[in-house]
Order: sequence, then C-alpha cells, then structure tokens
Amino acid sequence: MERGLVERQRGVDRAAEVDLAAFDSIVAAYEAPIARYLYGMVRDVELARDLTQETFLSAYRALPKTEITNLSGWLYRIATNHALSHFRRQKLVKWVPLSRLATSGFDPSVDSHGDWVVTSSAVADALATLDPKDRACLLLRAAGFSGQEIAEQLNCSPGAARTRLSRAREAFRRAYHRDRADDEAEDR
Amino acid sequence: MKCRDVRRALPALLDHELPPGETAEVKGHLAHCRACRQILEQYRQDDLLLKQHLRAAPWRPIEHRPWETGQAPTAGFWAALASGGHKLAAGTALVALLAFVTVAALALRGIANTSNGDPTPTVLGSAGEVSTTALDPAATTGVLAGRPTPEVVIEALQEKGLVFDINQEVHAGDQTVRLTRLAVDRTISYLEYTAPAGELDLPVEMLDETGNSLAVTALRTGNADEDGEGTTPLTRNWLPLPGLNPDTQSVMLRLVPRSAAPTDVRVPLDLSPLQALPDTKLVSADSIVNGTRLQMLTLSRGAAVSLLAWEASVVDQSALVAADDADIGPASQAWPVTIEVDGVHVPILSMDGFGRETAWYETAEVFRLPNQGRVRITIDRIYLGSLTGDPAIASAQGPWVLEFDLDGQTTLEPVPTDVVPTPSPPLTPSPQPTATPVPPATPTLPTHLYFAAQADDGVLALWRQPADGSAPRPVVYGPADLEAFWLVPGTNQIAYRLVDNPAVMLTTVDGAAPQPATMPDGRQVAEYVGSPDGKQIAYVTLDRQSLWVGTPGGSKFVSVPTVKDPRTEIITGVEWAPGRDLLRVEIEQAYGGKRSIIVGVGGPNQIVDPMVWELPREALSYAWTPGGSELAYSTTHGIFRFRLTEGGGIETDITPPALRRGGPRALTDLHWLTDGRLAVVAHGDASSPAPADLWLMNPDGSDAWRAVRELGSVADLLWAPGSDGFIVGTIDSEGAEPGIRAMLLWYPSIHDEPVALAERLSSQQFSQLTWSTK
Repeated sequence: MERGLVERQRGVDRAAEVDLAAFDSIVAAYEAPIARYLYGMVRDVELARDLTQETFLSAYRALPKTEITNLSGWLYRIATNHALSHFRRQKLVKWVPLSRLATSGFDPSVDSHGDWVVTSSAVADALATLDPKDRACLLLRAAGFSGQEIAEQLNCSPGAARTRLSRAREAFRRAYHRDRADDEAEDR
Repeated sequence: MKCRDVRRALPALLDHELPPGETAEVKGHLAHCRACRQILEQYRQDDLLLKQHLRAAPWRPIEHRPWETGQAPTAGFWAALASGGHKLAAGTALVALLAFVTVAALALRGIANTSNGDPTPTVLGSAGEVSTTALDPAATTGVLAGRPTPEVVIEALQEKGLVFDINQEVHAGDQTVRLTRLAVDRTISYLEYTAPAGELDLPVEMLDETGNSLAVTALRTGNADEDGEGTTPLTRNWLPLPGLNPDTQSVMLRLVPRSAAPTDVRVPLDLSPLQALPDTKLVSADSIVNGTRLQMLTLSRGAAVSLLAWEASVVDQSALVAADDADIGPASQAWPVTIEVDGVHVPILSMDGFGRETAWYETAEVFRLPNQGRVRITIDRIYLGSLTGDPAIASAQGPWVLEFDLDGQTTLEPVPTDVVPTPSPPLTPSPQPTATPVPPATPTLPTHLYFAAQADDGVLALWRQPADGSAPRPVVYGPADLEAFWLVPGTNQIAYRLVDNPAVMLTTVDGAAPQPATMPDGRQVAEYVGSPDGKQIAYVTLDRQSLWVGTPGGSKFVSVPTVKDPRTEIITGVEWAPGRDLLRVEIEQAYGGKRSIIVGVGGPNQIVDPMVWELPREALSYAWTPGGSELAYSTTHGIFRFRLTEGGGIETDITPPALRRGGPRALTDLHWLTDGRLAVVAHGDASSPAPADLWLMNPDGSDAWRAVRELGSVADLLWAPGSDGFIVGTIDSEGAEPGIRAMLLWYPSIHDEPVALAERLSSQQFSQLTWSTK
C-alpha cells in the first residue's frame, strides 16, 4: 500500500501531543499523496492544489463532528467528493480524442519544470478518457485501497465498486495501449 | 470458459476477489490462452504504471493553513479517531505503531525501498538529529536497531575513499540548501545536505556525464521547530540515490525549484575502489518449507553495501502455511529476515521485491558483509501474492534457512551451481496414455510431426505423429508436464524441459534415456538451441541471465551480452535466424514488459564482438526471411518488417489495409512463404486463440486476401517445409460436448480440405508443432 508513511512517521508520531499540532501533522503526512491523487483526477497542478486545500479545510471543519475509523480512507473520500463536485460544477468532463490530448500539452505548469517530471503523459492521457468515477476507482486502487474502502469512498455498494473497478481497468487498458500504438504510429 | 468470460474475471483475479473454483477455471484457461495471458499481463503492467503515476505526479503545497494560526477544531479529534474503533488505539505510541506496521508491511512486500528517491529514513531514528546506530551486534535492541543510518554507511564509504566533498551552497529560487558530500557505492549513494528546518522541498535530478537521468527525487527537511524550542536549526539530511557504475567520472545534480531556473552542481568522482570489486555471482542455497521454496540467486558486492537476491516459489500449494501479515514480529526487527556470517549479525539497510508469474524475488541491501565465512539467512515470512493461488494467502510462513560460504573470490563469471533440482528420473513411457486419436484418412505428411498435448491422464506429453498418418505416440511422457521442447538441428536429438525442472534435458527421437544438456564447461542450461546449420549452439545459463554461444566440439565458446540488469531481467527465449549467425533473444522484464534483441555472434570459426540490435516493439509472432536478412513480426496492431543496418535497424509498417480494419486483432503465426509472400493468422479480436482466418499478403503490405476462412480457434500453425501445406492445431470449446476439444488438422495446401490427424486428445494444451528434421 503506497501511503508513503515511511517519510511521514515523524510528523504523525508527534501529532498526538496537541490537537492543533496534530492536524498539522496529518496535513504534513497526507498533503502530498492527496495532492498527487487529485492531480491524477484533474491533471492540473494548480487545480489539484486548490482541491487539496478544500479537502483539508473540509476535514478540519468536519473534525468536531466526525467519528473516524479510517483516517486515510476518510481523507481520500473527502478528496474524491471535491474532485467529483468540481467536475459537476465545471462540466469538465470532456471526451477529447486521444490524439489531441497527446499533443495538446495542456499542462504548461508541469512542462515548465523541465524534464524532471517523470509522470507519464500517456498514462494521464488514458486516465483522461475515463469517466471521473472510474478514474477515481483506478487511482484509489493504485493508492492501495481495498474494494470495500473504494465502495465507501464512492458511496456505493462493494459489488458496484467491483464492477466499476473492473470496467475502469478494461477502459484504461484499452485507452492506454491504443494510445501507445497511436504514438508509435505517429513516430513512424 | 470462454475468453470473454475469463477477461471479465481477470480484474477480480488480480484483486484476489475471485471465488476459488472460478480462480482455478480462469488459471486453467490462462495456461493455454496466450491472448488472455497477455491481457492479464497488461493489467498487471497497468497497475504498476498507475502506482508509479501517483508517486511521480507533481504537486504543490497548499497555501492557506488556518490550523497553523487559528483555533484547534476540537479537543476530541484523537478521541474520535479512537472511539471509532480503529484497530490501533489513539496516542503517540500507537500512531507510531501504525506507521511502523505499514513500514514493515511495505518492506515485506518490497514496496518500501528507502533507496527509491525520497529522503532518507531519518524518520526511523529519533525526532531530532539522526542517531548513529551502533553496529555492535550486541546493540541490536530497540525499534529498528541494527539498521545502519546513512551516517554510518557514509563513514564506511569514507574509509574506502568513496565520499566526495561538494560543500556548495545553492540558492534555488527562494530556497537555500548546502550540498555537503556525495557518498557512492555500487548499489546506493547518499547525498548529504543541510538546510534550515522546515523550509526545504526542492526537486533534484541526478544525471550522468551523458545527460541520462539516474534519479528524480527531492531534497526535503522536516517540520520547522521540530526541536520544540522555537528555533529553526540547520538540519542535516541524507538523500538516498542509486548506486553508480564504477566507470562514472562525474554526476550532475540538478536542483529544480518550482518557479525558477534549475541550478546544476557537477560532482567529479573517482570510483576506482569500486572497480576492484568482484562481479555479481551466483549463490547456491535453497530451502523448502511449508510448500514454499526459497532459493538464493546472486550476490553483488559493494564497498560498504552489498546486495543479496533470492526468489520464492510455491512447490506445494496444499502444504502452504499462510503468514499473518498483521503479525509483523518483534519491534526490534525491521525486516522479517536475519542475516549472520559465522554467527555475527549483518545489518540490513533495505529490502525490495518484485514478482513474476512464477516467482517472487527479494533483494536485501546488507551493510559490511565480510569477505569470508558462512552466511546464514533466516527468512521468517515471504510475500507470494497471487503465486499462492489462494486469495486468502498473500504471504507464506517460514522460517527458511539459506546457508552458503562466502569464498572471497573475485569471480567474474558465475560459478557453477548446484541449485538445479535433481534431474528428472528416466522417463517411464508406460502406462501408455489412452488418448484415442481418430484414425485419419491416412494422409501423407512431409515428415514426422512432433507436438505437445495432454494425454488422458492430464499429463502434458510430447507426441510424435508419424508421416503416414498413423496414431501419434508419446515420446516424452512424464514424470511431470512438458514445458517446452524443440529439435536440435543436425542431430536426432530432442531438447525439452519439464515444468518441475529448469534444466534442459536431451533425448532422441528414438526415446533414448534423457541426459541433462550442458555447456562445454559442464554447466547445465535453461536453453540449448542449435543453429539451423547445426554448427553452433546457443546456451542460456540456469539463472537465465547469461547467453553463451559455442560449437558442439567446444572450439568456440563465447559470452554474448544480453541482460542489462540481472535484478530485473531474464532471458526467456532464443531463436536463430536461418542462414545467418544472428540470434533473436527475448528478455522478460520484472515489471511486466518484454524486449527482443538481435545479436550477431559470428560464424562457428569466428570469435567476434557481438553486435546488438534492439527491436522497437514487442510482438506476438516473428518470422525471419528465408535468408535471415530481415525479421517480420506481428502484433495486435499490425505487421512490421525490421531490416538490420549498422545504425540500428529500420522498421517498416507493412500492415495491409484489409487487416487494419475493425480494430485491434491478434495477428499470429507469421510465416514467409517460399514465393516471398507472407502468411498470417488473423484472429477475430485481440485474443488468441479466437476464431481465425488465414491471410496471405504481399511482402510490402500493398495487398492481402483471405486464403482460408474459419480455421477454428488456432493455437498453433506450422507450415510444411517448402510447400504451402500446413498443420494447424485448434482448440474449440464451442462443441456440444463439455470440455475443450483439440484437433490437429493437415491442409496439404491452402486450397485443400483439411484432414484430421488427431483429435479429442482431451487436451487443454496443444501446441508447439514441429516437423521432424530427419
């Protein structure tokens, strides 16, 4: 399970000392993974940062009235809700042909970092073709959540989550491998 | 079970959510269906890609943090966490335990690798300065004790002259960092740096002299005020980076602030101490406990940190004992592994692991491995994932003990090993399998035909179909299933492997007592492939990491470069080009991919520097031109030709328009006909076997036409030498009778009606058709 706790132990370890400090430690521990997950959802660094901010603000406000059984699952659920709400608000669900996506380079903020960013645009392209909920399913699975946890995060039954995950895997596989084939064809 | 049902089930199989009965059915199908296996492999590859995508995704810190200045949300947060019934109660100690459990579980699964780029595990020490863990074996108490800190490793490398001063303050954007030293070993390096606490989060890339990226990671320091005294002291930290090739003369550290131009720092190096180290060598030791086999693989020595590799495989599913992953062992033990040399504890720096279809591989970076002595590795648990065949069992319980001697030699070549399981006992042709081939209409075949198919008792055997069409008889039958076979040109030998033995055995077409195939130096081999002219043999060592080419008499015996990284690649196949001293070598990569290279090895009387060409894509089938000057290959997207040139080869897409239509479909069994045209089997969709037609096409792809419709679900197709007749093996699960029906059909030419040679071999596997060469 990739939750990067190796590097976060110290912050969380110290978190219990003071509640105020505790939340800071939680943010320190989860900010990067949540931001990366949200980047996977929206493919825009600045937007992902805004959604991360909203996620932690929501969490901060929700703390007094929330009984938490699974901290990371809870945070990812909030993050997923914010991402899906964003899509609903902005109508950003676009079905852009892969070939256009592949060449549009629509994230100049990332490109401007030079070539150190190793994120694969082909993976991002393929993810971008999926329904947002399917995308969330795949990314949550990659983040290490179980089918049951994904069901809770997407507010659906475990059976529905399994079906969605299965569909998402197949859709990603088709999109990604077709995308690669298209790239190869263009290279020729 | 049909392909489409299997494909629906594959995601659940990967997630261990398939009922056991269905799991067995799906695995049974996968055993014979190349296309479904390929899709499963793509799913696995996609999982890894997505994980990597998440890890590598860019992100920016949030700006508005009301909790830093505002009011605490509630005093009850941690109480809420606890009362919610979390397995781990609230409080510092237990949250720390949560982190530790995860660290240990990650380590066990090989996902946590402290050398993969994120800051050093200073987090595993105390909250303030990194402590220097004593390496005195007596001092191995306390959480993660005995694990050497970067400081200790750097000190050891300093003694070897492998620490290089940098001492350069860099202002990258609004961030300042002082790079102090770079310590280099073969498998790991450390960059030491200082920065004001809480202020640093700076991406950094390491590049070699030619500008190749070696690592992308980030320099970070911990939270401000972490000493609780309101100060922001300079914090020293260590960033783990990959080890370096001993020939490296300098590296470039490129600091990439998020909103300013990158800053480069060049670090000159002298890694001559690494050049004197012995090469990676094979280690022989294994242990079978509770249905799981652990087998040592290699030892790569470093100046301070050495790398040990072993693999695990399931040998008896019923004897497997599941480990409780929740029980991570005593807190004093960071890894479920203990290593001693002559009774003295050897600290483990980190562990990593990755899996393949048949085995799980683990590596351990160990600190200060002595040059001599007897090594004893005790492994308590091993992660096996889907290898167990039981979704409920992810890890097996040991302990396994692997012992071997460190001989201190500077051995460049792998030493002979007795890792090989005992050769299979002589074959016992009786009882005769009771498969009942349908008497054919006595067709005359060009020569005898060999093929693999299951006998009635389920054993996958090697059969010989006489040219006169009489009933096929087994040539190799038991004691285990046949894994692969091939004929050795210029001899009457048949080489084969059984599934329970990685070593190639040789028998003859007459069924002589099998003997292990060996290289001229006596070592057994995993591949033994004769050139078409019978003058040279390609050998692959049992670890599948070295390829050798020699003459049967031993006058030539040379090593051929193939595997780039023995930890992640193995050679899975070798094929000679007809009429040329060229080999196509298939290399499987640990993370799911495959690559093919072509190697020019010179004639039987030539010892030349091998030339290597990388093929640009992975294909379903390959076909050399009769003269061996070009290779054609087919994928699910098309057909390509690859012409070898000095510059590296030219690929041409020759997919005919007719075969482009209708989306991806599996194109297999590519074959050059004697008249210069190409033949290819086009399956109905991207799966194989699926109902298929046989197509012929012009060699430039300008035209193609369907030569034979509805061949059936083609598992294998073999053209008769020098004619347009062919044998096709089909598998059909659509019949009225339950089960799978396998047939062997002989088409004397593409215009003739087929004649059944053998059918209803009750086979789920039916493959590897081969004409006799005698």
